[in-house]
Amino acid sequence: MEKKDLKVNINPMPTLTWNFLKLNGADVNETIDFNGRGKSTLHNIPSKVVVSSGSCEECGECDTAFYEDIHRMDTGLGKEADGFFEENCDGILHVRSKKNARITEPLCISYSFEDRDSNAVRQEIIAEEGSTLTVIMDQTSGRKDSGFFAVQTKLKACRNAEIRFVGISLLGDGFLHLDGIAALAEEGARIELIQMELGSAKSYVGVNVDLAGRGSSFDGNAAFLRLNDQMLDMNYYIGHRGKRSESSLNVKGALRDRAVKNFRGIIDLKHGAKGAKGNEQEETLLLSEGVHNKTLPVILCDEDDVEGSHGATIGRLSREMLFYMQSRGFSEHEAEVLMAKGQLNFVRDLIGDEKSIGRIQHYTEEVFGDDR
Amino acid sequence: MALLEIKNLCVSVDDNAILDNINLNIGRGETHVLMGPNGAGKSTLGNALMGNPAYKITSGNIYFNGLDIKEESADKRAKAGMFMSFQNPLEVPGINLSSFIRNAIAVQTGQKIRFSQFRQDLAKNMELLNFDPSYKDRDLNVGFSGGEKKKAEILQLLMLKPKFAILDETDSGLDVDAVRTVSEGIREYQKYEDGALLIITHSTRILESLHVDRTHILVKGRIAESGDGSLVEKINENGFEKYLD
Amino acid sequence: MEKERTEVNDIDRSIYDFKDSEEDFYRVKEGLTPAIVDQISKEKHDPEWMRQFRQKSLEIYEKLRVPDWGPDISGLNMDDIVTYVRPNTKMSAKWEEVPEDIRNTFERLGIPQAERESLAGVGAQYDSELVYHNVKDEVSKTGVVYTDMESALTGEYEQMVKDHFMKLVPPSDHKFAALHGAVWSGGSFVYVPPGVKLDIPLQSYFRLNAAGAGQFEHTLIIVSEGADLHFIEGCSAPKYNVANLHAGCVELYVGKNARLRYSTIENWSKNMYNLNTKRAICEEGASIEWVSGSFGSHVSYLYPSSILKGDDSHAEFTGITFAGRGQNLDTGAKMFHMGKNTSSFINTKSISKDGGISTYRSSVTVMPGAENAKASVSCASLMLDDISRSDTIPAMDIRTDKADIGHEAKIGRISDDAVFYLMSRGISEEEAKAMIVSGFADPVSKELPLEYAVEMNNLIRLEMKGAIG
Repeated sequence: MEKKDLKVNINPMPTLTWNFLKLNGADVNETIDFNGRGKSTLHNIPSKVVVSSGSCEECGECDTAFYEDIHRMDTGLGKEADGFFEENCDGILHVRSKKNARITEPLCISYSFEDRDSNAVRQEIIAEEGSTLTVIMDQTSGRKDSGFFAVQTKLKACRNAEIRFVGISLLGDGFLHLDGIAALAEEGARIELIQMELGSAKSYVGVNVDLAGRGSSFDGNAAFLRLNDQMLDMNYYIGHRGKRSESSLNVKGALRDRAVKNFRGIIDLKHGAKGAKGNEQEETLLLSEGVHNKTLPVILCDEDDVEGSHGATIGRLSREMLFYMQSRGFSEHEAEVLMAKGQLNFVRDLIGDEKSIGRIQHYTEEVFGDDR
Repeated sequence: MALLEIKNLCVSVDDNAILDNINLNIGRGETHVLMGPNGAGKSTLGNALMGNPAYKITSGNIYFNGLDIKEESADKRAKAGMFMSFQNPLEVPGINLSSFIRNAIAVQTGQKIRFSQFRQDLAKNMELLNFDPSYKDRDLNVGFSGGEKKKAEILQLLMLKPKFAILDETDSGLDVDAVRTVSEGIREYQKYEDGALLIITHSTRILESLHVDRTHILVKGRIAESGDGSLVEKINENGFEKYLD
Repeated sequence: MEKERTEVNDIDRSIYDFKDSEEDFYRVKEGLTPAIVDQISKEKHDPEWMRQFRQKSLEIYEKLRVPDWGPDISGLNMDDIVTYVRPNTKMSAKWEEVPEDIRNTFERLGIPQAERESLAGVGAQYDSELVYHNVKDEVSKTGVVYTDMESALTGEYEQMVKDHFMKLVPPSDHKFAALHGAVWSGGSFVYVPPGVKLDIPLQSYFRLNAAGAGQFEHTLIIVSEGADLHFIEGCSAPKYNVANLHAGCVELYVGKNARLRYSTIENWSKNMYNLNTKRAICEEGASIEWVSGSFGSHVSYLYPSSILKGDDSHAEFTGITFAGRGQNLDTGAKMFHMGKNTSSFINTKSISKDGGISTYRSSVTVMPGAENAKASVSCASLMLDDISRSDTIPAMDIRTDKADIGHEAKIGRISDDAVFYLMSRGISEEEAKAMIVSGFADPVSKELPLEYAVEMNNLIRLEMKGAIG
């Protein structure tokens, strides 16, 4: 075991605003008992998918030209946090679907932990030209476990390729969780991201998307649930460089007890991205007096032939909705739980993998069951 | 004793008095119709009966099954056996039609539901309402057309089997076929033992094939006339003009 | 196919762009030192507490850093700025007594023509001092006080000024608030007694004529319980090649069940750094309504804030920002919900053209215990060409569950379909585009006093015309 300092500014904003809001980035100051423990397994590796891991000397996959541009890309967690991965990860897990391979079955990467495990991993996922690839990553431990898990994922969809990446976090109530993603889409490529951020004491999620190619697209859906003293800090940056590139981001979730959530969502419509469209929507249900929600939805626009929009709805269950639910016999509390589940289900049901859905369902039933 | 007794009820919305001294009794198994021109306060009565907090009861009482329910929240009233079909049903993202109803039955009865029986009942009632069965797996009311939303309300009525249901403008905005299917659903509910109804409407289309016990005409917040089912016919011919002077 | 495009020119500023000579005016030296601050204090015959306040503010100024967010202000060098310029005249209540060239300036800007028509009172500031102040008799009789800050500071309202001056915007708030505290001069003091409802507005007009100077006027308005006031301020300056600075401060105290509407049309010249601070505090049942049009300045930082301290208080902000060539306008609003059952609405429009940058920036904070807070933010931006820029940076900080917060924002350009539709009805392309831009600005211009609304619409129409390239 080794003590490691994690003193970084995480989830930095590309453009700053008032410091009193404390949203320009998050300062993390933690000391981690780093032991590299935890189990990772890969299931369902389809043919036409190249998987390699191990230390960089043995693997060699990185040296192929595919990875050059994503190696230079930061995740949404920012340079400082990315440095932590570089220092503490020996190798990188590579997953690459071959040219024109249409893979429908998801490849599953499971990280499972026991109490006091701590680890950091890097993974790079590439869909070669014209291929489609689905990767489901789940992160689990016992409900009451503590620990540390940091994962860095770089995604690249080459020309006309498609990547669906699903991240499910069901880590224990004492975990510190870092989830950094960098995603690059070439011409005509599509990246779909589905995230369920349910576990952990503190989570930092940082996503950086580069819609570099003409007609590339990003479709992001994230759901979160924060109870008790859980904290979640999210940063989504979507850069539109390609002409006619499109993005949509939906973030939904609920806060209860003394939970804290920060959300930054940036759509950057860069000069030259003619015909680009970006939309982001956030919906956060507030269920207790003591919650704290901060939202910063930003549109940066340096082009006229574009459309950018965002919307946010934050607050308690609307009075009309509460009355409707009550008229069906649900008490206020029951209505709140049902609606919170609804927020999560909306994203969960996009996963399309029965096993994953079952696991999430089990988790939510358990946490909502706690207060009966 | 009537199932529902409304005594000297006065209701206001945003400090504007809407209903003025309403008295109405509805017995078990009876179907009452509440008619009146736009803005008369018909929906206000429905919402006040169901316990919408936006509608303030300034005086008077409501007794359901002999119990004063004026202070009860809407969920308590629902558990006591009341139901309202909403004029504008709300969209419930993330919860599909089937599991919404299942959850509602569970909280109302406090019992576990026998899943196979539930599935059969649901399928039967959806068929009766000419409701595309795939809708049971769709999020409640999300992306439903106006007609589908109303069917979903009537489906809930049939599945929840309340003792008393308020149908608030269930026929508004529906085409002829949809009105017919919805009427079908209401007739089915009338067959239930003691199922009582208060049908709020400003047209008579939905009533054509229904048995009506009593009709009440609400004008400017007051009941201007009450009569039996034949009053519907008169309104159909003459409209509300004679009440508006 | 090459698309035809319409270009929109800069707002015609010629009516604002004349300048007067200032040879015999009193100026302090450029820059900022304790000696200069003392000199200003002496010239202004401050009470001793104010002299100390200025020196303390200067100390704070030295310690604070310039903002690390927002537009670049490195072109502003305080060592080059003259903080105090006194026109060679005394304040007058008679228009004829104002020196002719200054009078001409205001006449050309339509002041006090406006007064004659529809105002309850007018004040006009020229560089650092007010040169004209007049209140209609029937208004004075109601007990309403509308005077320059200097008179208020040394007259019977000194204690009231002392109790409120920079209490809402303390010098420690940010660097330019501290600067203001040190070198402020001019501005207006308004007191509306309990229950007095003025149905015609009061107006202040600010003109910065001197090159390389700063204007630091202070506006302090106290609207007592149950009273009602509409206050209008207008600002302009001619263009020079050196940087000018405006760091005014507006403090508004809105008493129980009182209402204040504060309208601003800002049309500073494009060498102006407009670093202005405006803040209102609302007691129980009070309401503040801001209407803000930002057209001028090289750089603007402007975010009127509303502190909803009392239960059932309410704030509205309606704003439009028009950024053209060489302009970087960072505008918006801040709302703080503290009392119960408070509500706030923000509705803004921004237009960017000719390389102009407009940024909408806001914050809505709902404090713990601010039960039943309602807030809605709606902002729309229009890009008129592809060399301009428009950013939207709204923040929400919600610390109670009993809140309903909604936000929506949209960025885009004039829809080709809409232009085509109007053209198919026989309207020329330029007229069609002017109509669409006017329509876009309409929700804001509707809120402006009529003469300003007309001027704004004319401005838009004029600039959209004859510029199809």
